Amino acid sequence: MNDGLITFLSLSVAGAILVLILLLLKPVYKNRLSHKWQYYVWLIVIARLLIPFAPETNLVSNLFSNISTEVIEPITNAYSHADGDFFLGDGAGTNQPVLAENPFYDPSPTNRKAGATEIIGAIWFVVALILLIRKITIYQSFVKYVRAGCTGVTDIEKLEQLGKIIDSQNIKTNVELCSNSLVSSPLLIGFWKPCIVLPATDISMSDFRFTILHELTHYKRTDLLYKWLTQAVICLHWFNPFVYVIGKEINRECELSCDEAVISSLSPKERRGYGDTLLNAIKAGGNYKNSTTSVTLWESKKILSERLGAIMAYKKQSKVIVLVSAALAGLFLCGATYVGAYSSSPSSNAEVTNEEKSKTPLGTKEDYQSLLALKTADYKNLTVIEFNNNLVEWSTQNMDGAYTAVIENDIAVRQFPEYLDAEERSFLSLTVKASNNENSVQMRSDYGKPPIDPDLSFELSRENMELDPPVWTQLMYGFSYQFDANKLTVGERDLALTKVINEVQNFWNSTDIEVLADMSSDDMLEQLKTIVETCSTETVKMSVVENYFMFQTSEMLK
Amino acid sequence: MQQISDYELELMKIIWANGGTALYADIFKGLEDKGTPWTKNTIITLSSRLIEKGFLTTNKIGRRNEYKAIVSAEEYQSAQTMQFVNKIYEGDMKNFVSMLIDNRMLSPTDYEELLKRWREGERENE
Repeated sequence: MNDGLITFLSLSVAGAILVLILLLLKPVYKNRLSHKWQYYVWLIVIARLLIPFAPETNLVSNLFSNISTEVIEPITNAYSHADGDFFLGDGAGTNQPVLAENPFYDPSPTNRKAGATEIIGAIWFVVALILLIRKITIYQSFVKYVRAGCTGVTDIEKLEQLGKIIDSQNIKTNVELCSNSLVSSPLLIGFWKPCIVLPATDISMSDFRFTILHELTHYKRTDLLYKWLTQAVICLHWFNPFVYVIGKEINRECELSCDEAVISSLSPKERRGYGDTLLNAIKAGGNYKNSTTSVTLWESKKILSERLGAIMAYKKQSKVIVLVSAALAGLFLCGATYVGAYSSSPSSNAEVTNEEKSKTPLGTKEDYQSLLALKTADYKNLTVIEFNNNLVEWSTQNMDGAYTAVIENDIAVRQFPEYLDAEERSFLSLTVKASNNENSVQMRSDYGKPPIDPDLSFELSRENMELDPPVWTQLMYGFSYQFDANKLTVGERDLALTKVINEVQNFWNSTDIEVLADMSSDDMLEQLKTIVETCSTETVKMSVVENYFMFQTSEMLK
Repeated sequence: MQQISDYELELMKIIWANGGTALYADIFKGLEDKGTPWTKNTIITLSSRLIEKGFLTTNKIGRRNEYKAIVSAEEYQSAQTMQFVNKIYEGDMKNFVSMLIDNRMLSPTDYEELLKRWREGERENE
């Protein structure tokens, strides 16, 4: 959902860039290229706004990976920072959480921001839907209104003229001919059952012929479909001011290019007659305001002079211009593809989860080899103090390289190279993690700060997007523990820690998600306390750290 | 019964003449024979209007449409005549027939023939 929203935003930005390019270049191509080109070139923009396909590297993707690290991630940063800071003896406060990742669950980094973006996504969707439904109902009532007042044209001469033009244009569908004194200009309604509606029947045969030619050209080119596609894009990208420009431009070019197509088959004398028809169309006509999505002979008086001018200025295009047009369209298409879209594919190198931590493992094979050397055959039988001392020694030796890469980054974000097996991963994410935290705590008291117990904290989340409305839950919890590091072995400590983690995990996973979502924060805290207390033993005393506790569900937002 | 235009009536006449049902090809040929060929769009448009007005129905035979008259020629004629008499003679059929006889539109032999038919019809009803 979140990635979908970002991808959609990136489409919107890419579309806006293309609109800007076309508008800026307009003075250059306006009088040089055909209106047909100027009409259909917008299809590329429409496609860019709808289709989230893009090559691996593209403009908007780069733009967006920067934005997503700077703007969308800061909440995640706040938590993941805690890790490294703590070890370095940062004096930010004794309550600074020591964050550890759950070794059995891989939380997605997007969970934290899901709440906000889902609300934004829902708002976007609802507005888009309302706009689209509104447009459709307005159009439907317009069509209904026009059809209700229609009377079939009985003049056989006009019917025959229409029939002959339909035959000559190779149109297979039957086209009805009606008149309705309430419409302000001739128009074509209906997609499956097209009907040309005239404002009046008493028009001259010449005007009638040109009107029919114009409307049938709209029908043949499926302009209605193009217009609805545009309307759909406008509704989806309603927050983007540029899409309204597209709508306006397409409506204008639709008429201009339709005129162009009609007069291309006419003699110069007939062309003037066609212009007269446009002028006559204004005189006739009723008062029902035309719906934006009906195809009309003339949509507004404003563009009429432009259309008349275009008819007078019409000249057949030379082959060179046709070739140049095709080349330019191809170029623009390539440009549109390159402008691209942002998709958060894991292969994208530009994407970094936050400023300091990389999602791809930073540790090299050598780094891991040296750290895993601590995983001796009998490390579980070492006392915790012995093992921790080994780790301190290793850390000091590798402070600049492997320590930063593996412990500060890879273990913190739980990203390991593929060649590590489950046992090695568990060693890193539990044994090393816990010992490193214990060393940090020890170091604090060595520096003379008040002693605190070591702790671990975890993030859990669940979601069910299939439910309506979708249900999600998020939990952050931590517990501190006390034990005698001189007596307890690493194996015993890890067993005790694993037990708590597993118990919580079991509870989290086996409870119905809707039951989880209905729990209050207090209920959840009580539940955790019970679990931690039952796992607590004489040798390893554990208690929930309330500072780490945070529980959020989709139900709470209601 | 709704009013139909002159050209719609032309189309109905062809279908009636064809025995009440006709394929598109029959209609096209009928018009051609009369010397007034129409384009396909006109024929389809007019027959669609007749379907809407309740004069025709259509059903598909394979890929072709067969048109069937729901209103017979007699029904149409009598309905149209009733309407005419209502409008011009205030519904008084006797006045209408007197006008026909007075103006020799109905010859004495026609009249005798009609009278004979009328009596035969009466006897049958008894």
